[in-house]
Parts: sequence; C-alpha cells; structure tokens
Amino acid sequence: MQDTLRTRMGWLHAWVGFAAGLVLFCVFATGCLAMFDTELTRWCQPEAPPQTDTFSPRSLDRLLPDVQDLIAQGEKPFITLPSLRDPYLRLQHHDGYEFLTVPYNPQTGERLAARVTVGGTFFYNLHYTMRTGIYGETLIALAGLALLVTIGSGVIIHLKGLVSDLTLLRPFASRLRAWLDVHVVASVPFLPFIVLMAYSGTFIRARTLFPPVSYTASIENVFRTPAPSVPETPEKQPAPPSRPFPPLAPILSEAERTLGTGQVGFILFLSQSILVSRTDASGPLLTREHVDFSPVDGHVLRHVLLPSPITHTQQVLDGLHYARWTGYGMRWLYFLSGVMGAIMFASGSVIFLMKRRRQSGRKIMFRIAEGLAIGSIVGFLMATVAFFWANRLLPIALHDRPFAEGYVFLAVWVLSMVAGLGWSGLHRPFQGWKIQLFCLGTLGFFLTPLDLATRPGASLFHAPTVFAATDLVALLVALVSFQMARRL
Amino acid sequence: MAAHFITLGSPKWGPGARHDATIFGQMIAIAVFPILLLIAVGTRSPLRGGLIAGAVCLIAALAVVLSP
Repeated sequence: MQDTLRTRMGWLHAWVGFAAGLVLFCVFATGCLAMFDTELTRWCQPEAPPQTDTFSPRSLDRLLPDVQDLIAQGEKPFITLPSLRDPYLRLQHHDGYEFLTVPYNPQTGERLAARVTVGGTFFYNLHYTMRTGIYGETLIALAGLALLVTIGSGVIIHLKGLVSDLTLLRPFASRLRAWLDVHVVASVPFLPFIVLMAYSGTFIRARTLFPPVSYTASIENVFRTPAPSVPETPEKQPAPPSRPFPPLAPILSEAERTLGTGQVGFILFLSQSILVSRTDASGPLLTREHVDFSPVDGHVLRHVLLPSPITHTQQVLDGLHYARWTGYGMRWLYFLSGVMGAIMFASGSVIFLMKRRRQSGRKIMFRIAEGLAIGSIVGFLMATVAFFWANRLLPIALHDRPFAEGYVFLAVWVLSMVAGLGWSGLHRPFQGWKIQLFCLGTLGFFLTPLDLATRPGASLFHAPTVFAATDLVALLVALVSFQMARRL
Repeated sequence: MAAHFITLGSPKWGPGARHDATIFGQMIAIAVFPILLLIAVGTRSPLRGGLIAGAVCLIAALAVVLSP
C-alpha cells in the first residue's frame, strides 16, 4: 500500500479510535443520561408526584434536624432549592460514589416518603469516573485526548470528500459501505459539538493528566501513600454534636441581595460556614459564586467570586460542558448530539472489526476485541435499562438500596461482557450480537408497562412528564435494537 | 512530555496568579497534545515528525528551567 498522509492518518484513526472508542461510547452514552440526571432521579422516585406546592423559605428550617444528623455522621450535606427542572427541596450528600438525594415538600419542609435510590447521579458519576475514582478519571481524560487525536485524523482522512460523503446514506448498500455512511453522517454534522465536549471534558479533568507538579513527584506521591482499593471513600470521622443552625430564611434573603432574587441554587453546610451558592442555571458561566455565613449567628463572612479572565474562560468551558443553564430544547439537542457521538463510536468499532474479519477473524486478539465490543456497546445499554428495572423491582426496604441498584447494573454489564467474549470465542459473534440486541429490546420494550405497574397514581394517557419521556426513549431504543437484531 | 512541560512551566510564565497560570497551561497542553501527535505521525519521515515534536518539547522544557 502506498504510504500517504491519508494511509498514515487512517492507521492512527483506526487503532486509537477503536482502543478509546469502546470507553468513549460509554462516556457519551452516560453523558446523554447525565444531561437529564435530575429528571431521571425523579423517575427513580415515583412516589414524588410531578407537581407540588410552591417554595416557601420558612420550610428550609424543617430540614435542619436531618442536616444535623448527616453532619454528625461526618457528611457534608447540602440543600438544593426547587427549580424549573425539579419542584422539590432536596437534601443531598455524597456517599463516596454518588450524590444521594431525599425530596422534601417545598412549602412545608415535610420529608416525602420516597424510595432511597442512587437515581440519575449514578450516570453522572459513571460518566467521568466509571466508579473507579481517580483511576477512572485518568482513564477517561486519556480517552478524551485520544478522541481529539481521532477527530483530527478523521478530518484529514475525509477532508477531500467531506461534503459529498455527508449527503450519502446508503442503508441498503454493502454492509461495510452502509456502516461507513452511518459513521460519517453521525459524526460530521455534530463535529463541533464532539470537539467541544472532548476538549472541555478533558480540560475539566486536566489535573489527572497534566498536574502542575512533575510526573516523578506525582508517582512518588502515589507510592508514598498506598492507594485505596475503593475510590474516594475516606474514613468519615463522626463529627462532635454541633450547635443548632440559625434560621435559614433570613440567610437566604441576605444571600439573594448579593446574588439576585431566585439566583440561589444550593446551601452547603460546613463546620466553619454555611455556603449559599449561585445556581448553575443562572448563565453559561459556571461561576460557583457563593456568599458565606457564620453557622453560629448567621452573619455574612465573605462573598467569593473569581473574576479573572482565565477563570472566566474556565467557567465558560465548564458551563458549556455541563449545560446546566440551558432550557429543555437545548438539553434535548445536547442529548441528540451525544447519541450521535455514541453512534459514531459504535459504528467506528463495527467498521474496524469488519475490515479485519477476513484477515484476522480467527486470531484470539480479534475474538477478544469483538467480545469486548459486544459487551461495551450492547451490554452497556442493556445494563442501563436493567438499572431502571432494578430501581422499580428491588424491595423498598432493602438495606443499602442505592448500592444494590449499582450492583445490578454492574452485574448485567459483566455478564454481557462474558457472554460476548464466549460467543466470540466460539466463532459465533453474530449470535452474540443478536441475542444481546434482542435482550436489550425486550428490557426496553417492557419498561413502559413496568413503569405503569409500579408507579403510584399512574395512568396510560398522562401529561408529558419525566416518566413519559424516559419510557418513550426506552421504547425507541427497543425498536431500534429489534430492527438491528433482525437485519444483522 | 511537551504537554507536561507546558503545564509544569505555566506557573512561571503564565498570566496572573499561580492558579490561573496553571489553568492556562493546561488549556494549551490539551490543545498541543493532539496537534503534536498528528504532526509526529503525519510527516513522511518518522524522524522528521519526531524532531518537530522533540523541538517543541525542548522549548517547553527550557521554559521550565530558564523562567525566573
């Protein structure tokens, strides 16, 4: 083969793309779900009805005993105020993996009898750590850099025929041609979004790859302090019994004088201060501006805002990546773009395997690669739908219920990975793809009946809510899976 | 390594406070990494690609050493 720029870039695109693509498929898929993390948490707590009373600041004080309890357990709790996305007051804390959340009536401050769940934040955590703490963060940041390399090489490969390729989609052409068309059509129109997400996402986790100290010092540091086997679960020291907090309504009112009316997002309780922070929905800059109050008498301690041009650039990148300031239209656009990104990785991986099947199809490495592809693509989606099934079917009184939901997800994913490797090892990969696609379709198809059967007060024809949207997306995934299983 | 040296040296030559300068260095490092890799693999001769990437790495390392 002639050695040209395109062949060299083709090699880089294929190998770096496949190696990082399986991880990036999961990252993009979880990113899509994390875009609606609050809404998914509401789906996971069906006991909380879609509509509720309006917010009264006096209700905040009713949450304080529960805040004190969490502080006594060594947690750092915070209260999120009602917003357009979520009408409830929520008391949250981080359990070492996810933010666990309890809903409260926003007018009375009464705790709602909703099931304990990990909710949508499960996918948020999975998106950037893969539930493996700093190791997962580093791996995903590395995959982000690989994505930038893959995009660059892909653009160079397709530069000549970029526009003509874009207008071609031949689903009934030869299989390889059809998959190539899907790959190009899914990637090129959404290229600006994918570049933005790759750059801003890698930048947000830049400290893992590019620490401001030398690598030698970083590695020495790792060996000096033994790494924990489980991520970010520091020993929580029970805090001494704390004083009662001052009333929160005057604090909220004082904070709104600085941040603006309706601009408070959450109230964080620390031992030395109460932080009243600006809502992430206030604008494209994720400023995390906050006003700090004394936990003793509630007087203002300080107002913190980082105003330099570099910090503003960082806040813009964060804001564009998290997209918490956007309305539902933009949020769905992000979701669609993320789905297209995931399709780009999945189709790229399939093309990589198809091109090498004739020459290397019987090699063990090829069999492993195909097994991993089955598990990473179909298996991941299956585990995601299984998570929602677990949320509704696990007993409500189950001890450590949030962990159990996570374990169901991981068990289905691992099982799918093993089954994929097994079918691939037996030289029957198509069987593996088909069976798993069929399982995914079945789980997705029956999620709507499950939702209707296990949600209190559910009716078949209800107003568009988080429940309807989640069920419809699952149904769509099911139909696509059935069609793919049929055509494969 | 070039990207690492850029981040490492940024507190010395970057704008503003140390925190801002480090962020600035990380922004550059993330953009430089894929560009350098594409140049290194994309040139006709692997030696030429390596030399270009090595030269950028050397400049970044010198900025770490020589900046006051």
